[in-house]
Amino acid sequence: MQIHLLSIRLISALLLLLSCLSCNVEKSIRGLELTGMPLTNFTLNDQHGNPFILSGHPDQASLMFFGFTYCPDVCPMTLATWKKVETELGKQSRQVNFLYVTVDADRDTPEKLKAHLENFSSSFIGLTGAPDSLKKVYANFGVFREKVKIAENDEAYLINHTASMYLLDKEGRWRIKHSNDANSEDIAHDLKLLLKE
Amino acid sequence: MSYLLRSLLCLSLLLACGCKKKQSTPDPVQKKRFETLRRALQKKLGEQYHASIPEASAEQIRRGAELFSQLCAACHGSRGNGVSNSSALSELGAPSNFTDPKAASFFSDRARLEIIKTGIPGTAMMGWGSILREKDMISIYLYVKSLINH
Repeated sequence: MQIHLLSIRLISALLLLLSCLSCNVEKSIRGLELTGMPLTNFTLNDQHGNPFILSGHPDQASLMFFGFTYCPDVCPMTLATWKKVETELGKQSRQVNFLYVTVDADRDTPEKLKAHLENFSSSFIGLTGAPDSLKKVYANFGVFREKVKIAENDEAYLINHTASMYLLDKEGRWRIKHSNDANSEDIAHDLKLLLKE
Repeated sequence: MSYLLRSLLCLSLLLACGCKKKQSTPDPVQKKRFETLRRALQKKLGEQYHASIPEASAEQIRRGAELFSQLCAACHGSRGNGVSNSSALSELGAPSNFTDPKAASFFSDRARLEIIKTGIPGTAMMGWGSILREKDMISIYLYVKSLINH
């Protein structure tokens, strides 16, 4: 009987330990954490034609993605995931900049970005700009781009591009990277951690 | 004592398991969206709404299949059965299942071609009319049409 009681105590203790461990995991970052990254700042134009300066939003964390409105796969899927992230964050979503930087400035006019993003959320910010300004931002985040033609007319092409998601803290430092198939819970979780800092 | 142990055991199990139910967009939302879209297309296309589209050639089907795999398969599934790679995307409005004859007949042929051109507002279905030529969009549609019952 004593052995039986001892076993139950041991199992209980083990389960409690596991519970505590899982609590600790909740406090840790779920994406790929980057250390020692420099502060980032850039100025681009949003879909309403207004300049967007990252450092002009000091109390907000940012979730960034590089995509294009004619993207038939990873970009709309990412925006759909962002919509869920926004819902999961609730009121805290106001403290997050959802930044969708175009890799196709030739076709992604501010009007096109606006119409496209409104299908997902009117609070998402579409960013475009002069080629040099965009190139600097691509370089800062190691973004690769490559046109792939799909028909003989010039405007019919897709763009192969880096499809990671970048989480920036309130100071504008790139802190966490998520792959494009990350789930909304993990992204929202990591954004909450950045907002707590 | 044993009561305390059992309570601890239950509490530990509850803490260890944190499950959430996933929500999905109900079908009535999609149905209402499609009914609204059908009325809008009937108004926009007028008599052309029921205009027929010529039968597909083998070359058009081949070209349509090629474009479908590049532009449509990620959302509608490689077999066109509406099975998306992304559950999040489906929550915006389930991608159409092109193998279902009932779903396929909800819009006319001409209306379905128009959807390829202009997309469906409020969903991830974008329009391709600005970058693809008419013949390529017809090829996509003819391929999509060939998927019924597959």
